[in-house]
Amino acid sequence: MTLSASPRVTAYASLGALALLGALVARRPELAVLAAPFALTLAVGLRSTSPPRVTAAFSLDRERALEGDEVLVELHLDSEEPVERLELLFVLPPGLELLSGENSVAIRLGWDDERTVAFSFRCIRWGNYVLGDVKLRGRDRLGLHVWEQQLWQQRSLRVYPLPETLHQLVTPATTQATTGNEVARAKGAGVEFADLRPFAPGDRVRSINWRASARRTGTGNELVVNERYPERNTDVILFLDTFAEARTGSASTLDLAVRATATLATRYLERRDRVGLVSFGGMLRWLVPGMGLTQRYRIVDALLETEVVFNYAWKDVSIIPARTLPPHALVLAVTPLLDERSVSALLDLRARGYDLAVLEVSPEQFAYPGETELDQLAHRLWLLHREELRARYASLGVAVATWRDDLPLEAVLEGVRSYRRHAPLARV
Amino acid sequence: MIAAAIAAWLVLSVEGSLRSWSALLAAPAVVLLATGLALRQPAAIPGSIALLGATYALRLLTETNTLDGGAPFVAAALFALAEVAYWSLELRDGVADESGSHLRRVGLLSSLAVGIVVVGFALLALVETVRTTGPALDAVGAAAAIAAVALLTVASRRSGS
Repeated sequence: MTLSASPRVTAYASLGALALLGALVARRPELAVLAAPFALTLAVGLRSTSPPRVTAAFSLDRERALEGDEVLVELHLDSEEPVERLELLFVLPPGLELLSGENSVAIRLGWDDERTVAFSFRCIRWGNYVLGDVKLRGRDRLGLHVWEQQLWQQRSLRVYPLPETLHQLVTPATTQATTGNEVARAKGAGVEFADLRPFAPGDRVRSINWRASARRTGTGNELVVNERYPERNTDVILFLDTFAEARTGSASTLDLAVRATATLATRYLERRDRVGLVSFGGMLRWLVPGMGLTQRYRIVDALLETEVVFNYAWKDVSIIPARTLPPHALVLAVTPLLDERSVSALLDLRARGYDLAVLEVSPEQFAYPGETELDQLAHRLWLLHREELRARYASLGVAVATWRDDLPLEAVLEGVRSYRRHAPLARV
Repeated sequence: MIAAAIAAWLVLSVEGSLRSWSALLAAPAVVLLATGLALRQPAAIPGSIALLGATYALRLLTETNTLDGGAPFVAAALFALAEVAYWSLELRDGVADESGSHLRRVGLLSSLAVGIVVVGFALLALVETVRTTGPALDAVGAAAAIAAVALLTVASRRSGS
């Protein structure tokens, strides 16, 4: 706690001294009367300078929230001595917005007084927030002293990105060996009908297609069995590009990318697929593929820590641990395609035979053409360069979908799905 | 507005040729206070009060040796002006006050103003009773001045703590 004198002290002392000296020089006692209020105020106010003992604690009504959720804060104050004016400020970090009440209030505390100040804020942006920076400033009755105290009680609040609506996902080209929800292309034991074939020793009786066998009765008395597609799971690697971002105010490509990645992770994990995460940027982070709710929380918690870390070192896919990129996995890249390192890393992954799809979080909505003709020309050239970049991916059979904030993610991914249905994978 | 009213009162109460000199002191006081409040500079407040006090001192020069009965009111007005000016700066901190705090403060300020008037009249009565000239009065004045300087020193030391 720091104790300081308010500007009044020096001002009143100066005024009092000046008036007294004036009274002495001019020999007019009236000027001494002018000095009296200032001198008396100082004499009374400076008697006690002991700071009040104020304790404060706060509570949040939740520790986890979604973007847009409202969180209630209760700040409990307790003082043994009266404080004429106690100003308190609960610092809200960027990304949290005051909703109701006041996080900066002035109250009066009496003897053994307890007060609770409540307010609520809205979570604007996903992130891992640490709350608890509370600043207290007390004044005495005459406003001569100011006590300042900072309380730091760390309490974390995890704000998860709001999931996008997504019903259908991008289907990987190849499935894995374990059971899942994706219909495999290879035939085996499953539910989905694939084909008919002649009965062979070892086939189960329940797989005989009696109707088809009856139709072939006259041809050779052979039985026909159903072949089916098995349901398998897939490996999906979410490749989040964190090398660079385009930002305007509070919105950025990284915010959208994290939201999309969290949504995709959730939806793939709900299908019992194995999902891994590679956050490829100035700082490399990865999560090996896994399944279930635990993996979902791992991924989302890892996403909350995502930030753009500037790094000029050249990085390629060789620095990614091999077990993070299992064979036949679908690599779904969420990237603004702004940094050459991530662009070439994705091309490298495709060249290594990975099934790749790119969800481009468009930075174009954050870049404005400018006023001058030269600026507009540069903007057009930049747009052309991006077109050329997409064409390079398309020539390799990689679907690139451009996502803007005003488009639903569902519609954008539908573009990827239709491209992958019709476009053959290029030989690389 | 309070400063302007006090300045007008002080200027109009001066008679004769000194009125223009009073205006020359009072007008900058009002301008200084307004500028200081606009720029959130608390240092302007004592300067403005000092100028208004000087205006009042100029008025005293025109009067005879009789004690001015308006001194307690001028003291209360100047003190209230200083308090209101500091209050105005505090209100700009963006801190929301709880209900009733302004009323409580106005009450405190009014009580202080009344107390100042009472103390002022008491002081004038005391001076009237023991009024004398010569070394005794000078000694009292010098002691008061030393006390004021000592008070200023104490205040400065506490400001630094």
